[in-house]
Amino acid sequence: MNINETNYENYFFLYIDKELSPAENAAVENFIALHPTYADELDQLKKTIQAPENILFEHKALLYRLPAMEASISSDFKNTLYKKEASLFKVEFNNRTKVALLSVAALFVLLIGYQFIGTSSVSSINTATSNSAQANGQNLSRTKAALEKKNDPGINVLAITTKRIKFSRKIKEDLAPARISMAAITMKETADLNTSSIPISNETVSLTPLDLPAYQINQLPNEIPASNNNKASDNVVPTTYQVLDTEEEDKSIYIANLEIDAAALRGITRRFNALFKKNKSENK
Amino acid sequence: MREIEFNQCVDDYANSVYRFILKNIGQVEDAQDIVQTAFEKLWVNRDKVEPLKAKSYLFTVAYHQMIDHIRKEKKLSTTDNYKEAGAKVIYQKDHELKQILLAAINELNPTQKSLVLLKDYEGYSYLEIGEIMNLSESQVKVYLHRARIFLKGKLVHLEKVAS
Repeated sequence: MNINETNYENYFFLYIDKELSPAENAAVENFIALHPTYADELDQLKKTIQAPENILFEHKALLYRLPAMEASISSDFKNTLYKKEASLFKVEFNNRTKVALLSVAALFVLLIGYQFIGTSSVSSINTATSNSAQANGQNLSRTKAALEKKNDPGINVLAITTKRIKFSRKIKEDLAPARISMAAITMKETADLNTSSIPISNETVSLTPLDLPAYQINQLPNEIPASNNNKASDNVVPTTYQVLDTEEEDKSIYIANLEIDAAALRGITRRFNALFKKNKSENK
Repeated sequence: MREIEFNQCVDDYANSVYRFILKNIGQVEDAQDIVQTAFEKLWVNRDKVEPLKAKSYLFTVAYHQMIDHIRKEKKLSTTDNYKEAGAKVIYQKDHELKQILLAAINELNPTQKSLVLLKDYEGYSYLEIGEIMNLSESQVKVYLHRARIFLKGKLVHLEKVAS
């Protein structure tokens, strides 16, 4: 290592920065001893070295890491924290039951639908009442004429099936003030009937739900066409008509002018009941 | 690195890291935040950092945090404040070498200031300083020598003014 006047400054920097080996340090010190004029320059460089200050970081406590604490909870206490979700009541149906329920639901929807249609057609019923009465009168006259044509007084029995017309309450309220003179009367011509097989009553036709006026067949309303009346009056043989009241609720059901066969409905209800009975027995 | 070794690092290096940062930026709260961030990163990476290299790691992280902080806060302007403060010291003809040198150091650019502080305060070698500051050994040597020449010139000049 050769320190001279051209490269001494570099060695001085390395000397004050303590980057030299002990031998090199000794060489620098030897150079200063041989050239005292450079001693001041080395002293000036030494003055550029900062003396460490005693500065303390006051928040060491924030930096420390504590050992992980063992956080354990007793199982008894844990059990008190558990929450159980309430179980839902579950009903299971077999296929037959599902079909039965679906059919009942469909029937119910149909009935509601027809009820709605019947309600909405109340206004049309009001206007059509007089027309239907006229038509019924014509039906009566036509039936009467047909029986008279047979000229068989023994069978001159006109069975008039009066069918109860059940209107909805709303319809009743709508129609009651008007005191409708005629309701829809459906008549069936039963020419083959004989008096012995069918219970005959001499009562007049009764239209009970609406307190409609009662008519005897021989007192047909004025709406009956005159031609028919004339034809009937020409026949001298008095014609008696007996009203056959077959108002049995189990034969037919009328809901909002809709005729439903009660027997068919009864069959459905019977099947439905049988299904439930079966299910009950299976459950047992 | 386990908790006990980490806590030992806190005992050994927290002061020096804090001093290094505080001397560089001159703001206590920011320096504390940077130190805390440095130790937080050491804890996060404790499995990767060997205990013997923890000090170097802490200074490296703290230095880069400081550079980011200076860039964000534009702390370079504070250097001017230090210059003004140093000038006041000069004009008051305070001959205390320490204060003069402090004023002179504050006139250095951040890289040179960090080099001087790491060398003088912490006694790091050129190689270690280069690792911390992401510089080569020769770069550290050249930059540090330039800083010494600047400080020397300042000291000589002020001594002449004072005399």
